[in-house]
Amino acid sequence: MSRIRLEVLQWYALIGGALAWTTEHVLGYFVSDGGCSRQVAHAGLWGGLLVGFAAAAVAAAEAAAITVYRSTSSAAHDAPGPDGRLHFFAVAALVGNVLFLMLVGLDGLGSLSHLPCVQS
Amino acid sequence: MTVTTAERSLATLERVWQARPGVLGWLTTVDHKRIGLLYFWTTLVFFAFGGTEALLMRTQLATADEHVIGPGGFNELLTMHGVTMIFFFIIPMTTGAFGNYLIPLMIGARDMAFPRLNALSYWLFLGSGVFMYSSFLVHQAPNAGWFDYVPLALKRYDGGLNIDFYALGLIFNGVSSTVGSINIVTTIFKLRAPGMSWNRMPLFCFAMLAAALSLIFALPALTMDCVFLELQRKAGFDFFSPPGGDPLLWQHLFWIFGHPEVYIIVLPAFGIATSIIPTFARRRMLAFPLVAMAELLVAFIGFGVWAHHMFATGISTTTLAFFAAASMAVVIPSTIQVFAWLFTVNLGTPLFRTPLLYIGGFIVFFVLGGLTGIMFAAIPFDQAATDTYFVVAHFHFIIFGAAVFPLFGGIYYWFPKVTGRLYDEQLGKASFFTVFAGTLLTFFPMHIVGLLGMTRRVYTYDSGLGWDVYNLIETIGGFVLAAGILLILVNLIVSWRRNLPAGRDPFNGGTLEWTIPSPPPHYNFAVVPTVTSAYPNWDAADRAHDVEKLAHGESVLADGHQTPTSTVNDAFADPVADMPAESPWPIVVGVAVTAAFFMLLTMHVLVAAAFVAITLLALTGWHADDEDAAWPPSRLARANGWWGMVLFVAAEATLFGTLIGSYVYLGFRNVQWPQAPIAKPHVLVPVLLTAALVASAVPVQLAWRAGRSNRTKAAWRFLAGAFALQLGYFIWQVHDWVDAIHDAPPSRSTYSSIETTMLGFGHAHVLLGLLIDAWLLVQLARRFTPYRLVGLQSAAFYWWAVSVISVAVLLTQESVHL
Repeated sequence: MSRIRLEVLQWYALIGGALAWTTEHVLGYFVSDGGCSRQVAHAGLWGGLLVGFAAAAVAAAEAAAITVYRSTSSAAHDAPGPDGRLHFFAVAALVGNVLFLMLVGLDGLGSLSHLPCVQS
Repeated sequence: MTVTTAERSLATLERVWQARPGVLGWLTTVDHKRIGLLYFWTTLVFFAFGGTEALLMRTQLATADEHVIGPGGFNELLTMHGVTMIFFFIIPMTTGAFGNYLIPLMIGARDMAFPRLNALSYWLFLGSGVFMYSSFLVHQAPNAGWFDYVPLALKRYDGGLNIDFYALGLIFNGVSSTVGSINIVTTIFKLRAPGMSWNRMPLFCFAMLAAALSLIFALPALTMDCVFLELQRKAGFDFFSPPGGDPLLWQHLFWIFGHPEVYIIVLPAFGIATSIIPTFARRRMLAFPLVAMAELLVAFIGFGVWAHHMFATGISTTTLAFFAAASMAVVIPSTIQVFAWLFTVNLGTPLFRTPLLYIGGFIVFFVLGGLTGIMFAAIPFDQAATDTYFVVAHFHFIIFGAAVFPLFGGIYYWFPKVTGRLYDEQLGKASFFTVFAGTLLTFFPMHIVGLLGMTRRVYTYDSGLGWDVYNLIETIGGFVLAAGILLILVNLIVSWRRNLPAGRDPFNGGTLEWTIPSPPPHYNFAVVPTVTSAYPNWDAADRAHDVEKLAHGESVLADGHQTPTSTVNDAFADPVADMPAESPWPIVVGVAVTAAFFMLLTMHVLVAAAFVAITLLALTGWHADDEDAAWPPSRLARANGWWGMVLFVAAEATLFGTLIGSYVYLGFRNVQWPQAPIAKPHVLVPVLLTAALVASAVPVQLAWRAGRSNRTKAAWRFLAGAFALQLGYFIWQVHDWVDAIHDAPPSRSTYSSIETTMLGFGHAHVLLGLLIDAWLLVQLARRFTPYRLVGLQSAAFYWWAVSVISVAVLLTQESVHL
C-alpha cells in the first residue's frame, strides 16, 4: 500500500471515529432537545439517521486502523517515523474506535427508545 | 592547559544564554525555567490563600451553630476557595509551572515555541489573580459559588461588584490560559528533538498536550458565558431571564467548559504518574500506546458529558440518556491507565520512595473518586445525591486526591533536578502519610454526611441531625492535611539550603531532562540530543553519541538563542529557530491589560480603551525589534508562528461555535423567533457583503505566494488591495449593525441580544484582521524578512478562517427565513 494512502488511513483511523461520535452526540442532543420543544419534526428519525451514519463512520475508522496495523505490523512501537508512528497510532485507534462505536450505540439506544421528554 | 572543543562550546553557550541578573532579569525573563518557577511560587501563594479559606470554612463547620463566619462571608470564602484552587492553583501549577519547566527539557528543546508569549501568559495570570483577590479589599468577593449559577448571579439578586469580579476575572484568566496552551501545543508540535516522532514522545507530554488542547477548546464556552453575564448585568442584554432567555443556558455553557476542566486538572496528574512510575518501578511503561491514547481519549470524551451536571434541572429524559452513556464510557480509558500503572509497578522492581508513595495515594483516591463518579452517572442516584456533601466528597477525592497528590509527588521527583539538591527521604515519607491521613479524614466522612442529607454550601447546621461527629472529624482532618503540606514545604526549603548535591540523575529517570546537569543550564542541552526511544536516558549508546557530538562541536547551535525545530509527525530535522532574548514588553502588556480590566470593572470604558491602546502600542514595540533571521534554506514543515495562528483560530472558531449554539438553543426556547415586533434580517446585502469578505481572502493568499517567491512589491499590493476591500466591508457592516441596535435594542429581546453579540464578535474579528493587515503593510514597506513571510502566511490563514466563520454566522442569522 502506498505511503500516502497509509497516512490518510492512519489519520482517519485516529480522528474519524472521534469526529463521527462528536457530530452525532452534539447534533443528536440538539435534535432530541428540539424534538421535545417541538422545533424539530421527526426527531426520532433524524436521531436514528445520525446514529446510523456515525456508526458506519466509526466502523470504517476501525477498518482503517486494522489495515494500517496489518501493513505496519513489522514495525516496533518505538521504531522511527513514519512506520513506527503509523503503527503506534494504529494500535491506539484500534482501541479508541471500539470505544466510540460503543458510545454511538449507547447514544442510539437513548435516542431510539422513546423516552419521555419530561422527567418523571 | 589545552581548552577542548567541548569546553569551548559550553563556554560559548554560557555566554550566549547568560540571563540578566537581579530583579530586572526576572521581570524581563523569557526563559521557560524561570517562568516555570515564577508560576510555581505564585501558584503556591494562591494555594495558601485557597487552603486558608478552606480551613476557615471547616472551622465554621466544626460544630453545630458556630459563629466564626457569617453567611455572607462564608459564601465569599466557598466561592473564592473553588475559584482559587481550580483557576489559580491547579491549572497554572500543572500547565504553567510543570508544563513550562519540564516540556522543553523532556523534548530536547531550549525554550518554548513563543518565549515572550510565555512570559505574557504568566503576567496575565498574575494580573488576573491580583484582580480577583482585590475583590476582598473592597469587601465584594465573588459569592455565588464557583459555578456562579444564574439567576442568583444576576444583578437583581447580587447587585454589588462581586459577580463582576468573577466574570471579568475569569475572562482575564482565560486569556492567560489560552495563550499558555497555544504555546504548549506549538512547542510539542514543533520543538521535539529530531527523532522524537509521536511514538517516542514521553507520556507526560501526551498528557500536557491533551490538557492544553482541552483548554483551547473548553475555555471559549466559559468566556462566552461570562461575556453574556456581564452584558446582561451591565448593559441590560437578556440571555438568562425567561420568558425569552433561559437560565439553563448558563449551566450548559459553564459545564461545556466545566467538565473537560475536571480532566484538564487530572490529565497532567496522569502525566506525572507516568513519569514517576517507570523510574521507580525500573521498567518501561506497560501498554505505552494505549496509555497515550487513553490520555487523549479522556480529554476528548470529557467534552461530551457536560449535561451530567444537570441531571436534576428538569431537562428532558431523552437528552439525559445521551450524557449518562458518555459519563459511564469515560471510565474505560481511565481504567486502561490504572491497570497500566498497577501492572508496570507489579512487573517491575519498585522502589517505594516518596514520589512513588504519592502516586500510590493518587491511584487510591482516583479509583475511589472514580467509583463515586460512576454512581453519579446513574441518573436516579444523581438526582437524589446532587448538591449534598456526597458530591463534595467525590470531587475532592478527584481534585485533591487524584490531581494534587501527583503534584506533590512531582515536586519531590523533580526537586533534585530543579535545585540540584536531594530532598530528605524520611521527612518526605512522613509528609506523605500525614497528607494521606489528612485527606482521608477530611473527605471520606463527607460521603456519610452527604448521604445523611447535609447539603453543600450550608454555613451552619443544627445539632442532633447526626452530622456533628463527622463534621468535627473533617475539620480535624483539614488541619492534619495542612500540617502535612507544611511538612512538604519545610522539607523542600531545608533540603534546598542544606542537603547533598543531587547530581545529574539521582533516580535513573528515563526521560531527557535527566541527561543534563542539575539545575539545568540556561541553554538546557549542550548539543541537540539523539533520540531513538521514549526513554532516551536509558539508551546508553545515544548518550555516548551526544558526548561525542559535543567533543567534536557538532549540533551545538551556539550562534545566538537557537533551538532545533522539527516536523510535526515524525520529528525530522527542520531549520534551526532563533529564539528571542529577555524583553520588557510582556510585563508592559500584562500591566496594561490588568489596568484595562480594572477600568472595565468600574465602567470607566474610555480609560479602559486608553489602556487597550497602550497594549497595542506595546505590542508594536514587541514586534518592532525582531532581528532579521537568515532565510531558511529549506523548510519541511510550517513555522511555529503559523501553528500558533492555527491554534488561535481554533479557539476563536470554538467561541463562534458557542455563540451559534447559544443562538440555536435560545431559538428553540421561543415559539416566535425573532420575537415580535422585531423584523427578520435582510438577505441580499449581508450575502453580498459576506461574499466580498470571502473574496478578500484571495488577495491575502496571493500576497503570501508573491512574498514566498520574493516579489515583495506585488505582495504589498495584493495585501493593500485586500485591506481596502476588508475595510469597506467593515465600515458598511458596522454601520448596519449600529442601525440594527438602534432599531431593536438588545435590552428589548433575547433575539436582539444574541444577534447583536454574535455580529459584534464577527466584526471584532474583522477589526483584528485589519490591524494585522495594517501592521504587515507597514512592516513589508520597511523590510521583507522570513519572520514577516510567516506573518503573511498566518494572515492568509486567518482571513480564510474569518471567511468561514462569517459564512456560518450569516447562515445562522438568515436561518430565521427557513
